[in-house]
Formats: sequence, structure tokens, C-alpha cells
Amino acid sequence: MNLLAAVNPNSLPAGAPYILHYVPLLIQFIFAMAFAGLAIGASWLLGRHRNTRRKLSPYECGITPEGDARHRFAVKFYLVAIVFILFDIEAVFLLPWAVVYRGLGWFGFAEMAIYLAIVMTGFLYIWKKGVFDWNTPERAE
Amino acid sequence: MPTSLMDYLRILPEIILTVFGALILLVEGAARGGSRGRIAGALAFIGSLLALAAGISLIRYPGTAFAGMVRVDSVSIYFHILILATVAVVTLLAMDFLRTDGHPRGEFYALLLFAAVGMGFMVSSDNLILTFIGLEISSISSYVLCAYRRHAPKSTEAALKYLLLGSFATAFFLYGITLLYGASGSVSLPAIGQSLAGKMAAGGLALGSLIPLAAALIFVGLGFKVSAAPFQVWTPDVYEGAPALVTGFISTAAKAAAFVILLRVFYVALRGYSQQWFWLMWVAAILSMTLGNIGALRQTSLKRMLAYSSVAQAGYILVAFAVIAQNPAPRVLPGHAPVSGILAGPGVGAILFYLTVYTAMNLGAFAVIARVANRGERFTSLSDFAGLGKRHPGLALAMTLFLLSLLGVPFTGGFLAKLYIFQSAFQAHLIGLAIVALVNTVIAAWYYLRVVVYMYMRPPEGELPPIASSPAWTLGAACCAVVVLWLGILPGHLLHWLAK
Amino acid sequence: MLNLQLILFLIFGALAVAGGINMLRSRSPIYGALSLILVMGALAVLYLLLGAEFIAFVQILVYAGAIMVLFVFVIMLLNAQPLPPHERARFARRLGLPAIFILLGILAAAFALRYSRARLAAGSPMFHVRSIGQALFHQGLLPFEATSVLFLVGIAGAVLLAARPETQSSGTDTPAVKAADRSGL
Repeated sequence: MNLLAAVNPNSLPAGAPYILHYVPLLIQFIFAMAFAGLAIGASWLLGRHRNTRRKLSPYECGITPEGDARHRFAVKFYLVAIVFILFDIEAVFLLPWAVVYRGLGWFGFAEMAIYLAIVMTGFLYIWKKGVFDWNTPERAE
Repeated sequence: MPTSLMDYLRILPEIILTVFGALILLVEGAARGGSRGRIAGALAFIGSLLALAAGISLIRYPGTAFAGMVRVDSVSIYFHILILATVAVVTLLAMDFLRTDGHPRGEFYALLLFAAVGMGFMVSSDNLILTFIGLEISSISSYVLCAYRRHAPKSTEAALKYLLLGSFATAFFLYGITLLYGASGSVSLPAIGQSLAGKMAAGGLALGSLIPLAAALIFVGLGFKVSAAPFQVWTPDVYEGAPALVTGFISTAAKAAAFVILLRVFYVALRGYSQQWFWLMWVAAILSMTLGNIGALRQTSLKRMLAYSSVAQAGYILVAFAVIAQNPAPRVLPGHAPVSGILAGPGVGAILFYLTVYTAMNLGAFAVIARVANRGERFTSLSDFAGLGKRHPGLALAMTLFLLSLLGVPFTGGFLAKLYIFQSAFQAHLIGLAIVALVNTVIAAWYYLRVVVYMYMRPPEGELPPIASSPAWTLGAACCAVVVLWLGILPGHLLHWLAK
Repeated sequence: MLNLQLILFLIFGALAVAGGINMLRSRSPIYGALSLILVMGALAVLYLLLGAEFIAFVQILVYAGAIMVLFVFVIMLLNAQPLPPHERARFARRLGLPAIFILLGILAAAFALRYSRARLAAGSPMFHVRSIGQALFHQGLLPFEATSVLFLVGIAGAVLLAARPETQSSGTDTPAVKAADRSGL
């Protein structure tokens, strides 16, 4: 029952091993795995297995699938992926900032404001550049 | 950490450049039609001039900022001025070039300014973390600038090679920093110096410690950036494939900034180990000079030839580094920050002078190449320069001046620059090194003069398209030429300033 | 509670190794990339066990999240096909497997000689997010702000290199320029 008492990290005794703080995470992980395993396992156990060629073909909104699913993506998706990485890394800085924010006060707020202002300039720029605009017809290049 | 206005004043050039770079991106995003490149170019020029003014005004605010992160001393001010002036000149040179070459893209200027931000941090950083970030900013901007003409396979190839090898070099540099941190417990250069000196005084540090490995790794990383042999193999391909003006920029300003890091790391943090790194510099200097000059002999593409030549030029500068290692600076007075006395050491003045002249003449030479190469950079081979003296006497004259200066002919800046380096080598009793450098200069004469011969004594081969006039380019190239001549004939001003 | 730590280490260590082996085994690049995500996720837990919270979060956020997305995108972009069986693979296996065991042996010996068991087991929160935040926003203020410039460089570079040129909206392009541009000059 020691484990269950540890579910609330705030109630941990002072000298408790550090990793106990993450027991909730572990429990969530176990639940997630169990749920996924259960869903797949149950349908495999309960369902009937009658495989035909048609049934094994990939589901594509009821239309007969055409060609290979792995075709080349347009470079604009790739651009979105790069932009995603950049903003993701920017978000990494927000994590420690949010943790120490109280101690930093207005100075810390200004620090992050300047940082975000510069980053947002980049955001505005790609917006104006039409990186998010996927409606324009593909032009021959 | 409380900051004061002084902290921000000491990084004012970087702030101005960042603001203008961001502004260019916004304008570039919003603007439509033909005005785009032009507004961006004008903004970049204004921004670089303002930053230059801020850089000059740093003279009034020497000291440290951000808790010792940034050190504004004579070296950082000097290189701020050099780098920012280079950026301003490159902007001028690029204005018409970008338009005739195809799509004028404002990002070119934004990246130029951002690269200068990185270089600014590189030259004034006293902390290896900031140094590393500065290096990354300037390197990544350079990689992208190399691919600026992205429809040209050569340009893309150059950028890819530069990116891959450059990332390796940065990783080496970073690994060196970690080891240095492990050995000394700090990433601040003066603190590293003190810690190592303390351990040395206690007799603790043997050669088996991590320091030599750290120094070697850092040298590999920076040696790549300054294209010193044996880390120069990327240079010809990248310098040839990148747009000529970009090559001009990365071969001058970026190199100068990397040399400053080399100076600070080895002169401030590792000064106690000068006996060891003396040989590092000695070998690299001889290899760079020899391999560079011999490689340049066989080139028919002018860009490749100048790439090899720039390897050789890096070698001459490394001679001065060996001189510094041979004569460690006189003991710094107590109460005097170690770096403030950086100019006092023998050889350092020669490095600063050489880098200034080198920047002007190399940038000038690449500017002429960009002009002659014309749209799409098709005409960069030696035969395309045949008969240039008749077709475009002005261009040919400028090219002759820059090449003679690169060779080191009297009354050009290049002569005095080489003279100071050789002189310092002789004074430090590095006779062997000085003789190798002299022999190399003689070898170099062949390929520099060959271009001059082609320009004036060969008839033009085939029909070449006319070169459009460009007042902005003329102004930029004139700046380079004036610096080369001025330092060749009246070096007194700069020398006096350096002596202070 | 050290046992919990040990159990978790064994589970996730095994997962990481299994993911790594699977990545090497799979001929399809996509499966390889997915196995790599498993490795990254398991590594994050190992970091957490070692007391490096922040690294663990970054590992999930940046590596398992963003970098792997880019990996998968690049595989799609290049339309990488499953590799055919290769002759050299056997050669590599013959040479590689012994190399792995030698390397493992050296590492194990080094750790066994250098560190006591007690020191390995005691995972302490050395790299609390809080202490990283303190360092980053006090001493590291300037480098932190400088990374925003790095960020702008990345964005401008990505757009410059990957975005389609706005051939219709820009007025300066003459047809000749466009033609020259397209012919790869």
C-alpha cells in the first residue's frame, strides 16, 4: 500500500526516494498500455477471423484503394514539420521558465516577453509567407 | 539577475542587428511586387550602419556585461567594427546583384544581419556557452546563405557539404567545451584560465589530463571554421558553389570571428599550455600555407583558386598564433583584466592588421568575381577573365589591386600585413616558420599573377554578355579598394590605434 | 523503494534495447523510425530514473515528438522503399556482433572498476527543472535570448530553401530570368 500512498506526491515524506514523485506517471503509463492492449486483444479474441482479400485491403472511406499509400509528400508538409520542430524547441524553454516564474518576478516576465516577441516575429513572417496556406493550387515549379 | 542599462549598451550592435533583421523578415513577408528586395536591402544597409556606429561607440564603454558573459575590450570593439563594416559593404555589393541574379529575396539580408549578430557574440563573448550559440547563429546563417541560389545544383551541393561538415566541426567544438568544463568546472574563459593556472601551480595537471584533448577538439572545430589545414578539404567545393558574394562574406567576416575565438580560448583560457599548443599552431600553419598554395596552382576556376588561396592566408595568420604561443604575454598586472592586455602580446597586433587587410582584399576580389560571373554565375573560370582589361578596365584594375594585395606586393595592405607577420616570426626566432611562409609567398605569385596576365595580355575568348552597371556595387568595391590602398600606404593610423 | 527503481530500469532498459535491435532489423524505413520512437521514449524513462527530469521531458518533447515527426516526413518525402536483402549485411553481422560484445565488455569493466554499486543506485534529482530554470534565467539570460535569433535564422532559412518561390506575385521577374532560373543555372 506504500505505492498507493505515493500517488499524491505532495503527501510524500521528506526523505522519500526521488523517483516516487513520478509514480502517477507510471500508473498512467500502465493504464494506457493496459487500455491499448485490452482494446486490441479483446477485438482479436471476440471477433471472428474470416479474412478475404477485400477485407484485408486498407480502408479508404469505402472507396476502392488506388495505388501505394506511400507516395511522395509535397515539400510544404515538410516545411510545416520544420516549423513545428522550431516552435517545439521554443516551448521547451517555457517549461523551466514556468517553474521558476514566481521567483523571477517582472524581470523574468520581461525576459520571456522579449524572447517571445522575437519568436513571434518569425511566426508572423511565415504566416505572411503563406506557409500555412494550403489552398493555393500547386504551381508548376 | 539584475541588469543595468550598461549591460544592454554593451551588446547594442547585436540588438540593433536583431531588430533590423526581424524588421526585414516582416517587410519581406508583407511586401508584394518588385519593391521587396529593395526595401530589405535598404533596411539592411541602414541597420548595419547603425550597428557600426554602436560598435564604434563601444569604445566609451569597455568592461563586462551580463555578469561576465560579455567582455567589451579592444579586441571585441575592433572586430565589431571590422565585421559590421564588412556586412555594410556586402549589403552594398549585393543590392543590384540579387536583382540581376533572379529572385531578389529579402531573407538574404536578414540572414546576413543575423550572421553578424552571431559573429558579434563570438568576438565579445567571455563564456563558452555564449560563444557556442554565437558560432551556431553565424554558421547556420552561412549554411543557408550558401544555398541562396537554390535552383543551382552547385549552390545546394555546397550548402549541404558545408552543413554536414560544419555540424561535425561544431560538435567537435562542443565536445571540447564539455571536456574543458569537466577539467576546470567552468565555462567562463577567465575562470577556466584561473582554475587551470591554479591546478598547474599545485603541480596537479599532467599531460595525461583532459586539457590537451579538449584543446585539440576545440582546435579541430575552429580550424574547420577558419579553413586551416588539415581541416580545409571542404573549402574549395563550398567556396566554389556558394554565390560569390556569400563566399566573400564567409571567407572574411566568419573567419575573422572564428580567429577571435581561437585567440580567446588559447590566449585566455589555455595560456598556461602555450608550449603544447605552439606545435599545434606550427603544424597547422605550415600545412595550411603549403597545401593552400600548391592546391591553388592548378585551379582554372577563379573561385576555387581563391578558396585555396584563403586556406593559405589562414596559414599566414596561424604563423602569428605560433608566435603568440612562443612568447606568452607578459604577466598581467594585478587588478588588470587578463584580456584587456590582449593586444600587448607579440603577434596579436599582426593578426588584427592581417585580418583587416585580408577582409578588404578578399571581399573585394570576390566582389569582382560576382560582377564578372554575371547572372547565374556562369563566368568564373580563368578564361572568362581573359581580356577583361579591354572590356572593363575598371573591373580589371580593381581585381589587379586585390590580387596584388593578396600576393603581398609593396604599397598594398597585403605587403605590410605579411611583413608584420614575418617580422614577428623572426623576432620570436621562428626562423623555419618564417622561411616556409616566404617560400609560399613566392609560390603564390604564380597563380595570382597568372590572373593578371590573363586579364591584360590575352584576347577575350568568345562572346560574353555585357555587365550591367551598379552604383551600389561600385561604392562597396571602392570601400574595399580604399582600405587596401590606405593600409598599404599610410598604415600609421591603424598601427597607432593597435598599439594603444 | 530502490527495488521499484531497479524494476523500472530493467523494464525500460529492455524496451530501449529491443527497440534499438528492431530498428536495425527492420528493412522498411518507416518501421525503423517507429522503433526509434520506442527507444527514445524508453530512454526518457531512464533519464528520469537517473534524476534528470528536464532531459527526460526534452527527450519526449523534442526527440520522440518533433525530431521523429521530421524523420518520418523525410522518409515520406524521399519515398524511401524497404531495402532489399543485402550481401554486405551478413558481413556486417559477422563483424558487428563481436564488436558489440567487446564494446559492452569494455563499458561494463569501466563501470565496475570506477563506480560502486551504491553510487549507481542513488538517483538524485540533480537536474531539477527548477535549478535549470534558475540557471537559465539568471546567469544564462543572454545565451537564452540569443537562441531566439537562432530560431529566426532557422525559420528564414527553412522558408528560403523549402518554400515555393512566389513566381506570380513578384513583379520583377522577367520571363527570361525565370527560364534561366528553371534551367538550373
